[in-house]
Amino acid sequence: MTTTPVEYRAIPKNILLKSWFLWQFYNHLSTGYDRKYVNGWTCGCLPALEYLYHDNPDEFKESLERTRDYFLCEQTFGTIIFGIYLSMEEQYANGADIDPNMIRQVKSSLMGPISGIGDSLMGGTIRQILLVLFLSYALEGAVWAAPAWWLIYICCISMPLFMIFLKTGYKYGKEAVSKLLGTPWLKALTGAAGVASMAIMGGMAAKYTSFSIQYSWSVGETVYFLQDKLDAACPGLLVLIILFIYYGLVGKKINYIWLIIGTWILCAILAMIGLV
Amino acid sequence: MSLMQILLISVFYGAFTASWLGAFTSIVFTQAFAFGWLIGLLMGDVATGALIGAQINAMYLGMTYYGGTLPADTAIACAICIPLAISSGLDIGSCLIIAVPCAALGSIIAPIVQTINTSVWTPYVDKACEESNTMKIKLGAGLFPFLTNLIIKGGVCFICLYLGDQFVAGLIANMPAWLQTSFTVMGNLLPALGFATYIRVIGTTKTLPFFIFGFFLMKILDLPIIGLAVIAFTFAYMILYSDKQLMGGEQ
Repeated sequence: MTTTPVEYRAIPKNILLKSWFLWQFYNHLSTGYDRKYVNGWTCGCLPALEYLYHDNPDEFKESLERTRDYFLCEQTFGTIIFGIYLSMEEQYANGADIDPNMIRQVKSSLMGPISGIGDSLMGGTIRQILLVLFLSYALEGAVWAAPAWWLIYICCISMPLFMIFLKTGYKYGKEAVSKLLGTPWLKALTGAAGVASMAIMGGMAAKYTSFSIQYSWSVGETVYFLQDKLDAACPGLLVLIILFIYYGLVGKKINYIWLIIGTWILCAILAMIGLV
Repeated sequence: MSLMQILLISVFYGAFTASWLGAFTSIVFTQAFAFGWLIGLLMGDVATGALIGAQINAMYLGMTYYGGTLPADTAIACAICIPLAISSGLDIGSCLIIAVPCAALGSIIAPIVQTINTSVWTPYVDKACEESNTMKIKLGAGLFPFLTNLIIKGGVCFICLYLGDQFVAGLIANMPAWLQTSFTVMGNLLPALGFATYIRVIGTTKTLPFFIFGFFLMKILDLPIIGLAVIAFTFAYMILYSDKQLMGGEQ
């Protein structure tokens, strides 16, 4: 810093909230391949950076260029990173002894672990469980299911978490994360959520996936159906086998479009020879 | 279907899937039962929209989008199938048949938008940052990508709906039986792909057996989802207290 401010200029709460809102607003708008959500991140930082570097255009420009790194993180938990990032910018703007590169590094090093927790807890568990609960009603024709699902997700889960994470992230700076990541209850929660969501998704797979073979043969007068025999031996075995074939193929990172087209071609061949 | 309605649906689809306000809107258009509800609302028949949306959603269940890539665009499937169902009286079975190619079409056009974002708008914002031009940053990160998405995605949707009315009805009427069967069978199989992705991303070797446990529990007992959830959480709780090592697992 060229000048040392007389008093510590903390980011006011309304500017912090405005920053967060802009970040949320722009986050997915211009997703690209090389740096993913980088433009949204820059936009989100704007109000806070404008406030912090209002009298120093050079620092403002540099701080803008600091935001131009690859960013990809689950949004809810990513708010922690956002809070930390702004808190570090604030400390730096106020003349604290922070290497500007540190700010970038903290951001990029936190993305991985936070995304890991965020994706499995939010995307993989909470959102999915809530979805299947309401979807089962919607499938029976309940009109209220979709809006109720959205309201409950936003008001009871998403918003409270956002506010908590923004606050903790901003308040504790980078200490918060090591604190949060280190807590045993978070690990336990992630683990328990993993077990429960896997079992629920297994059940959903059984309920909403079906496949049966229309093959029959006759011995004397009696007609035997292959599918009946399979069901008697182990219900849903074919579906589970197909699912794990997909599991293997998905692991090979084959493009979904090819998997879907491949599935269709196989179904068409089976339908032509009358096996399904 | 009137031209106004086609335009309305296309603009709505193109504008909504630009996913401004990230988390609040993206959960809507990535889940067909919520997006279908909105399309139904626009077409004046929420019940049909919600029901078809839910059916499409069930087909792609478990396919959530990680890292910003959409495996199948169920939103465009909703935007095309639901108006056709409501205005041309297409039945739900036929709707689901055309939903699959529509969703695939959507995931083909999505990369076009992302490519433009990557090669045009991100460098534009880079340059705006060098100039410290906040207005340009906001335009390059907001309005321009939004319009790109609106024109490309909305345009494709418009063409499909405009041609669709007569075209789709004729297509389905003339479709050979084996082809229809293949689509139905595929519709029943596709959720397996979604669940396979799910357990690939979320699952670990330690939690994989619970998926199989849940699968057979449902196959044999045919529980309601709430019942299954209760059992699953009880199980998780029990394990939490008996095996600390599993809970602190790989994740």
